[in-house]
Amino acid sequence: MLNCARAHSPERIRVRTLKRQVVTCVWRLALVGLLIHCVAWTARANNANGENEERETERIAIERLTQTNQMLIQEIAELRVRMKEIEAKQAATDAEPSPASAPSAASIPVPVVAAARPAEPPPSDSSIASGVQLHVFGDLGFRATDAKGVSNTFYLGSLDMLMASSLSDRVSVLAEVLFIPQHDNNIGIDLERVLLQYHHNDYFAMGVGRYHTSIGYYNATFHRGEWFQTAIGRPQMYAFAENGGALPLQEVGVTAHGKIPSGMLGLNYVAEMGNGRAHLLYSNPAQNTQDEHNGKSYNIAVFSRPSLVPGLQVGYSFYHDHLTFPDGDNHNESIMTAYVVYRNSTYELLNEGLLVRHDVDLNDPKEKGSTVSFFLTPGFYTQISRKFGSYRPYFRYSYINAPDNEPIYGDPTEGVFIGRQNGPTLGLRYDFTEHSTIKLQYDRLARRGQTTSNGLGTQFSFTF
Amino acid sequence: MKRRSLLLLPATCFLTALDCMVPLLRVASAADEVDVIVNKSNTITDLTLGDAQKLFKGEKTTWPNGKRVTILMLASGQPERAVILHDIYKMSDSEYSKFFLEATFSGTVTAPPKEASSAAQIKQMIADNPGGIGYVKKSDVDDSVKVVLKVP
Repeated sequence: MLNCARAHSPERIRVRTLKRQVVTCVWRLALVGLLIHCVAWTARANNANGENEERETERIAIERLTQTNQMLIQEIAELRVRMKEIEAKQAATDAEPSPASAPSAASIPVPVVAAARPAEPPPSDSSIASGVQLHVFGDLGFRATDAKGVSNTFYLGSLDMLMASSLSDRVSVLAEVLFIPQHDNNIGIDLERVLLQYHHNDYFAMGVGRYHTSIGYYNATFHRGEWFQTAIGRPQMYAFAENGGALPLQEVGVTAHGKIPSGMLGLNYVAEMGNGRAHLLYSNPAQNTQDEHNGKSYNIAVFSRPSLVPGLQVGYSFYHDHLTFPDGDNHNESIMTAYVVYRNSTYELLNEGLLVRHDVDLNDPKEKGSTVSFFLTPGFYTQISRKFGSYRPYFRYSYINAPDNEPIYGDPTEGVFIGRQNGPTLGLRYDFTEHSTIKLQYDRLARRGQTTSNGLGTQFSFTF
Repeated sequence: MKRRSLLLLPATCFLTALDCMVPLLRVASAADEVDVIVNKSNTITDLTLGDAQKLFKGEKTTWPNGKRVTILMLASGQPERAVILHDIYKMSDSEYSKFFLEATFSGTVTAPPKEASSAAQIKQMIADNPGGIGYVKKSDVDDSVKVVLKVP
């Protein structure tokens, strides 16, 4: 009874009423706040729209005024010309007696124009004339290895100057000059590419000159630009001749390429014919001025870029040449490649396989006793990388295996000895600016008959 | 006191959430639309996004009438360029630069895009070039060019 009385005491009732009132107030406040926010949000959106529309209107008005101004300047120039014509005619008629009724030239009001320099036609902003594009690529770095007889060294890579220009709507020219250190520490100059190109349409374009052969994917995609390549150096099967390479990567001749109507399959072709290479691998492999024989090399490549998978490219190429040696020893050379690559802004997955066949003429007296009519040299590489912001870690595994008695790849007197070379590469590429990179790389190279070597390298590459 | 704070809590949360959402609920204005434009003599009347991608990337280099495609891009920093890079190229500005540098280096693109400094200049360049393709804001379109695609 006492508790009940206390519960219903006037003070408690007043407190409870107060509490209810407070809660009600809080809810009302919250509701008002919500309404205020809604109004403010709408007002902000409308204001933003209003301000945007005002700025847009002003910009349009300024543009129209500028256009009107230009039109008026042009009209003034035309009027000046007409005025001069009229004055000239008037001067001619002044020499003759003019009828009294005709108004005299003096009475024709001639607008007085302030003496100012003649209005020049507005500069032509609409020209799409093409100048010369000049791009420079370079690389340098440091490498260290535990291979016997090879010392640690800083090195200059190459300085690659690419020039390109459109001579007309369909004709263009590309030239690439390379300054490249030689093995004797001198700097050599090489005309890496010079190509005059004609573009008829998407299905046929051709070029004449010196170019990089479309054997496989890597050579025609990355060329000499270390900045474009993810890793330091090329896969072994695509090494250039001065680095012990086995393939004819440069050619002097004609090249044609274009699309093949194939819908979503996105087929393309490349057809090339040229002088082929000199039989000596270490010499300049492209025969720039004189072919050793009348026979020509040819290369046919087909690849697909399916539209359903942007970034995917699958291809095949077949190259054939006839190598002529001074002692009359001749060999047919056939090079087949197949590849599957996928590249987008984040991922890079390159996979290529190679098979080189060198034929031997068993009827040649020099091959007396030999039973092998051809030699096969397989090779492949796989490379994977992923971009994390400005960093791109990568991994590559390369392999090439030429028999030791291979007639072209196995005779040190005829050029580089290929043998078996294989090993992994692990590295990190960091783009510290948009046009310059630093790469850190570890290589492990196993060679048949030699001790496996390890190498560490760093490379700075750039373009401007 | 506990009941009061419990009652206040949902209201506060709701208002805070609303404050956070305001910037996201920007009313899209018509000025955001970018129109892909070509010369009026071009026989093309409309393009799909896929066709536009091929043209702007240099994969398709001639129009049906045989004219060579000339790509016109606004200079960096222009909002219309950002729309085209995002919706058509699907690249950032640096990726776009690298893409065409690589294409020029490999010889696959012999005529990289030309740059214009303003919408008026781009329209003038297209009006003077039968094979030109470019873009301007919808509000900048006039009778001197033909619209073939609206982005987005």
